[in-house]
Amino acid sequence: MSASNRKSKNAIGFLTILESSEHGISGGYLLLNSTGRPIEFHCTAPVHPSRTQEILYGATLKPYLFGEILGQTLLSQTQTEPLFVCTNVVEVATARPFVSYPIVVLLSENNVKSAPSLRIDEPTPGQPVPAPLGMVSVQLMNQPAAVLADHPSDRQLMNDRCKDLHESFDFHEPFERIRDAVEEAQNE
Amino acid sequence: MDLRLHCRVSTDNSQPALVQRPLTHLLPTNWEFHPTKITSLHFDRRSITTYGFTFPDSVANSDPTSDSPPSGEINIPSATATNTRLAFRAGDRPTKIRPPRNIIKLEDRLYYLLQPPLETIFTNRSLEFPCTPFAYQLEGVGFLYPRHAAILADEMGLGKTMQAITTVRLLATAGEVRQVLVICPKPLVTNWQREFAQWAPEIPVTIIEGNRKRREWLWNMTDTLVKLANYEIVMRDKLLLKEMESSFDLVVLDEAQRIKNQSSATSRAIRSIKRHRSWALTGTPIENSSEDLCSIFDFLSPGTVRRDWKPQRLRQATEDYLLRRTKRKVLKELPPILYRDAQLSLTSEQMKTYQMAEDEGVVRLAELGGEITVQHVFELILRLKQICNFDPATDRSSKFERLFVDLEELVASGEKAIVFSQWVKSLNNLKGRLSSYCPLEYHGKIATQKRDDVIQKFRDDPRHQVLLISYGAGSVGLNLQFASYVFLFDRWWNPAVEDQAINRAHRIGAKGPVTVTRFLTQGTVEERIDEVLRQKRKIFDSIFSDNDTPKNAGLSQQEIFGLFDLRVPIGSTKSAA
Repeated sequence: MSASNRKSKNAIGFLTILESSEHGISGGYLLLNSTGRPIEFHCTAPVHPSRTQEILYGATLKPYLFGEILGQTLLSQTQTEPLFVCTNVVEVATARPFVSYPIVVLLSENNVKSAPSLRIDEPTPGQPVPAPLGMVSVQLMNQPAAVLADHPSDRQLMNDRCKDLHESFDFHEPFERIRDAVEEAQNE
Repeated sequence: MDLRLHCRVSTDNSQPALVQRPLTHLLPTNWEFHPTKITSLHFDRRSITTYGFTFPDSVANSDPTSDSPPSGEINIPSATATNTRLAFRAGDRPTKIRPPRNIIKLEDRLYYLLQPPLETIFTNRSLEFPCTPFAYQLEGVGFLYPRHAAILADEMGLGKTMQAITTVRLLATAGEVRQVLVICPKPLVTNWQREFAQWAPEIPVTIIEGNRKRREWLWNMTDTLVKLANYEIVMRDKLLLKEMESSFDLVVLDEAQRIKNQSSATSRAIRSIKRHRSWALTGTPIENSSEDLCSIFDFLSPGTVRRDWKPQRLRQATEDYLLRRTKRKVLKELPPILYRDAQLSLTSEQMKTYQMAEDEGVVRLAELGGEITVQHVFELILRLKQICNFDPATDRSSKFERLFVDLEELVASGEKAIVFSQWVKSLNNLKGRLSSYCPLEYHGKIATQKRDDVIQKFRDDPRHQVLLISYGAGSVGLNLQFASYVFLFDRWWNPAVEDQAINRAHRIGAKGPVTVTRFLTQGTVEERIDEVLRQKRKIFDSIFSDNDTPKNAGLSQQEIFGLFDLRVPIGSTKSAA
C-alpha cells in the first residue's frame, strides 16, 4: 500500500531496525502525533541475509537492507504522511530518496560508532557528535541529529516543522515502544 | 556415458607398442544431475511481510492546540493558579502501560504497549497534580488503566483512592469512560468528594442522596461523569439501577470487603449493576477466609475463580488481576511503626469481678449442655472483655491508669493521640475521665454531618490532643496522619481491622514514627484471644507472599470453645467467626 497524500499537521514518524541473532533483522515504524499518542504502527517480518549476500555486499549491506529495503517498505505502508521521520539507526537514512519528507538521524556516540562506513571522525566524549559522512548536522530541539547532505532543504524543513512541538517531547522513548511491540509480535 | 579403453600392449620391444587397434566400449551409466544453485544478491521487497494497524480514534487530523478536543475526550482546562505542572522525581523510570494477560489479540496488546509512558501522557495532556505522585502510585495507575477487572489491594495508607481517581481521569481524557460509579461506605462519601476535588478538579462528581424522587433524577443524569453513592443507597435503589437503560463504563467499589458475603443482599445488588469495567479497592481482600476473595471476584469477573480451589491455585488465577504493595516495600521513607505492648494486671477489684464472672459463666455454659451455641460463648467473652476495660462496680481500670500516665507525657510534648475501643460506653467513660485533655469523640452515635468537624478540630485545634474512636466508625478511610500515638484500648477479633485502625495515623504524610500501644490484661481471655490473633496474622502472607499454604483463616468453633476449655457440642460444623 503506498502512502496516500493524507497529510497530518503534526504526525511524526519513528523508524528503527532491530537485530536479533535469534529472529533476524526486523524493521518497526511508529507514527505519533505531537503529544506522543500513537496513530499507526507497522513492522516487518524478520529478514535473514544469506552468507553470500553478507560477503558480497560487505559494508554496503546495512545501508541497502536497512534503508532501501526495510525502511522503504515500511514507509510505503503508512496511510498518513508525517512531517518528518526520526531514526536512531544511521543506515536508515538511505531511505530518504524514496520519500518526500526529511529523514533525520538522532546522533549518539553509539550509533555513529556502529556505522564505520559513514563516519568521519571518532566521536569525542563530551563533544557534539559529528555528522557521519554524507550527512549534515541539524539540531532537533537540543538533540544532535543529521540529515542527508543530498537533500539540503531538509535542514530548513526540520527547523520549521519542529517549532510547534512541545519542549518536553522525548525523541528517544518511542524507539523503546517499537522494540517492545516488535518483540511482542515476534512472540505471537 | 562412461568411456573405457581396452588395449593390448606387446612385450616385444621390436614391435610398435600398440599391436592392435584399441578396443573401445561405450557403456551407458546413469549420471545424477544437480541443478545449478543460483544465489540472488537482491532482496525482493515484495517478499517482505509486514504487519500494521491504525489506532482507533486516531487524532491524526486533529489539532492538539485547538480548544475542541477530539470527539469523546474531555476538555482539560488550562493550568490553574493552585496546581502546578508536575515535576517527576529524578531517577524514576518512566511508567509504561502493560496489557494484562487476558488480552490475547495481538492488536489489543499492541494498543497498550504502544501508548506513551504515563508521565508523558500527564505532561502532554496538561494534567496537573497538587503534589508529585510516588513511583509505585504511577505503577498502580498503569496497572488499573488497561484492566476491565482489577483489585487494588495496597496496604492502608498508600493512596488507593488517589490511584483510582487518577486512572479515571486518564480514561476520561482518552474518551474511554463517560459514566463512572463509585460505591463506598457512607462515612467515606465526603472523603471521596474531597479527593476528587484535590486530584481531578475538572471532573464533575454527583453524590446520590436525598429522597427517592431526587435520587431517581440523579441516577438518570447523563451529563455527569462520576456518580458517588454509598452501599446502602445502592441497596435501596437496586430496582432503579436495574431499570436504567445505559450501563456504567466503570464501577469502583471502595472497601470492597463489604461484599465478601456472596449471598448477602448488598453483594447481589452490587453484582446486578450493568457495567463494562469493575474495580475493587480494599486493603483487606481477605478478612476471614479465601472465600472473601472469591466473592469479590464474583463481582469483578464471574467464573474466574472457584471456591473449592486450593490457595496456591487461587493465587495463580488471581495474580494478574490483583496488585498489592505494602508500606514496608514501597515507602522506605515512611517512618516506622513502633509497637509497644502493655501487658497489665487487672486491679484487685477487676480481678475479683472477673474471676466471679468467668466461673459463673463457664458453669452456666456447661449447664447448657448440648444446647450451647457459639453465641452463648461470645456473650461471655464480651462480658469478660468489658470487665478487663472497667470494673462495673467500682469503675477501676488498670488500662485507664496506664493510659492516663502515657497521655500525660505525650500531651506535654504537644503530640496528638488516638484511642480505639470497640465499645462506645468505654469511650464515654474515657471521655469523662480525660476531660482535662478536651478529648473529641468519633463513633456511630456522632451525627454524620458533625464528623468532619470533629476531624478538623482534632487536626487544627491544639487544645484537642486526644481523639476517642470506635473501631466501627473510625477504622476505614480517615486521614489522621498528624497523630503520632495510637492506643488500642481493647483488641479486635481481626488483625486486619486493627491494622486499618493503626493506618489512620501511619500513612503518607506522617511526619515521624507512629507508636502503637496495645493493651492486654494478663491471665484473662484477652491473652488467649491475642494468641489466636497471632495465628491469623500469618494467613494473609500465605496468599500474598511465597509462604506456605494457609490454614482456614476463621476462628473455628473449637478455638472459641477452647478459650474456656469447653468441648464443641456434637453436630456443630460451621466456622464461628
